[in-house]
Amino acid sequence: MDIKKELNGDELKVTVSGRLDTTTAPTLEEELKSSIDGIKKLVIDFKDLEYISSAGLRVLLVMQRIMNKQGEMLVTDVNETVMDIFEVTGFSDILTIGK
Amino acid sequence: MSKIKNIIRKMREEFLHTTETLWQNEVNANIFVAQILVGTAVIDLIIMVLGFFNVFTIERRVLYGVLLRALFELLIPAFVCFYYKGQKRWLKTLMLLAYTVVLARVESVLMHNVTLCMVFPTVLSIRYYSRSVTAATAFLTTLLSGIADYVGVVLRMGRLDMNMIELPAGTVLTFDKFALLRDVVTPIMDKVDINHLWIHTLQHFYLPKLFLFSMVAVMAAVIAQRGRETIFEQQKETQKTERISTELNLARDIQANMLPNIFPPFPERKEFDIYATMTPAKEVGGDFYDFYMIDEDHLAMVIADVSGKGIPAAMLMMASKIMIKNFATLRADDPGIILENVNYQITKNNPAEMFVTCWLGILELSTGILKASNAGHEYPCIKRKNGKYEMIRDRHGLVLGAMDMSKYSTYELKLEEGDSLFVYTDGVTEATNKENELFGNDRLVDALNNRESENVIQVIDGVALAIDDFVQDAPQFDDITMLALHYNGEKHMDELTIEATIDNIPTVTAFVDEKLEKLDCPIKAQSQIDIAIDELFSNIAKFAYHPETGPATVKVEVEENPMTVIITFIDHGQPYDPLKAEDPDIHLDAENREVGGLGVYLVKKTMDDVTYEYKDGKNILRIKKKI
Repeated sequence: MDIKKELNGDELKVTVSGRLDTTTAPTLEEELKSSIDGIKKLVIDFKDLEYISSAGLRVLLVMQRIMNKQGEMLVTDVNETVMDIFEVTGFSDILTIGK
Repeated sequence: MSKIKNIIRKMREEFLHTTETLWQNEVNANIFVAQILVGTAVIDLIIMVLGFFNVFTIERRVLYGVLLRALFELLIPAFVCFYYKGQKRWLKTLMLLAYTVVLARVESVLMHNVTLCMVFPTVLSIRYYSRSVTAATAFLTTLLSGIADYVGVVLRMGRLDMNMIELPAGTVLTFDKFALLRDVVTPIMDKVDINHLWIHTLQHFYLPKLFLFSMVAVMAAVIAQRGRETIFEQQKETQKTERISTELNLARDIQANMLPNIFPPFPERKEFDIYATMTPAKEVGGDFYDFYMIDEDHLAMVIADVSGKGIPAAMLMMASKIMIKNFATLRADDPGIILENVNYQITKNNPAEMFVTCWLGILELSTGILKASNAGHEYPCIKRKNGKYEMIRDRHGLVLGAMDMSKYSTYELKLEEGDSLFVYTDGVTEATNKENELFGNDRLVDALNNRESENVIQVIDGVALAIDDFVQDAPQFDDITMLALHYNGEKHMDELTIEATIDNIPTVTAFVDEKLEKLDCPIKAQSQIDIAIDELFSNIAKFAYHPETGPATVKVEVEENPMTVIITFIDHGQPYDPLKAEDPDIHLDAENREVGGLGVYLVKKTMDDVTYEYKDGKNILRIKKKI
């Protein structure tokens, strides 16, 4: 998994590529939590994400809860596999999924 | 206790058996005696006929008086005996008594002419193989013979014999050519000293007979006793034969059970199918086959034929089988060296000069590489996928057990997915029909190729049927043993055992992905499988051995039509069925959502089948995905 962060004022764009699973999810969580202070808009770009497992979903849920309090969170460029998972697990209703 | 009971039961059986044997003999003896009685009656009849034509000098009236009565006295007991089929204890008394009485009466009239016939009952009684019966009969004979003499001479009922009486000098007698004593002596009774006559009879007639009868009685008693002993000896022999036959059957069972005979033997191994049969010609044979996993990746196959038949061959067979297995376990990589070791052992201790032909192959399941060595055994047959069975003219070493330093070379073949192997003993190729033709190599290869055999069982059954067709009713001289293998290729089944930790998830995923890529698995399905692995393996890592860690095994299998990947996760941790957990509510909003249970839920939703079982201390979780 690779994580690329772009900070633009109070907007943070995080590009996650590779696999977001049990092994990699804690790294993402740490990265996000360390840079979330004062962020109004969090954009998570999944353009190059191969798949996500429940450990990754948990990170998304945690971040969604935080962002519900301090702004908004957007998940973009979701591929078919990941979208299926969002739908199956009901995450498509929780997350704001954009293009 | 049960041992003692067994002994008692055995003794009881033996006793009953003995009694039974003696009784059977007595019944047979009764029938025999009855037949002799009938035979005597026939002779009696013949004499009567001859008497009718005046062949004898005896007056017909006298002759018929004796013979007619004898006829009935012989035939009635005989028919009583036939009626009861000889199965009454008193029959022997009845018949021997009747016989003795008949003969004694004849003697009382015909006197010394027929003295010899008084030994008949004693001789006949031998058939009962009983000293007491013979002794009693001899005693009865002697007694009745004495009475006959008394009646014949003293009561003057017997035939005239001038030796029997001493008449005063100058006595003039006139009589016909046949006369009874009374005809001659009664008119001159005043001149005869009756006491003297009696003493004379005892001294000159009865005493010599007494010696004669005693001798006959002793001989008869000894023969009867010997007869009885022979019966016992025979019975012991029979029991011994029965025991040997029982033991032989037992040996055959043991031998049969020594060979792996549960098919499929390794149902969890999808890389190969194997089947083998042995049909012994005699109770115990010298052929054997064997196969076993030396380790997770190596299958050993053995087919062998021990020279000779019966127990010695079976014993060497057992020894060879065990030795090959022992050495194979030590030196899985080189069949030639295994055979060299086994050969050395057999040759060193081979007083019977027997030998073993043997083919040993070790198949590496992951690569299909078959290493084999041949000690004077028949050529193996190999069929390449979509090809035909062909005999492989492999290099032969000397038979095992001939020379202690023989070398055996190992050769290598590579089995590809779909290839088959067939090995057999000479009982197949040397099966002989009534015209003395051998089944032979060509017929074998034809039989292998002629039939549409879908699996290893059909391959062997096909050859067995072809042999039956060829041989027809001719007897089977040799054991017929066959072993067939079908190699499905390694990719159908693979497994990885690894410590169940989060850090090892990528290794497991990579292991499975490698298989999936070979199958051209669609990306989406592969991702879903990878997610499932992540969920399930992380569960095992977190919970199974908590707080310790332990091993987990991941197996990958592939089924065709439809192409399905089956992945099995096995751990020895605490029993835990993740499928039991309730599905999470996926309609709650972010604040109220819980993440627990989501992983397994995801797996259930994306896989085609998920099953869990706890067996032999193992959690076994299996997922199936059509690709």
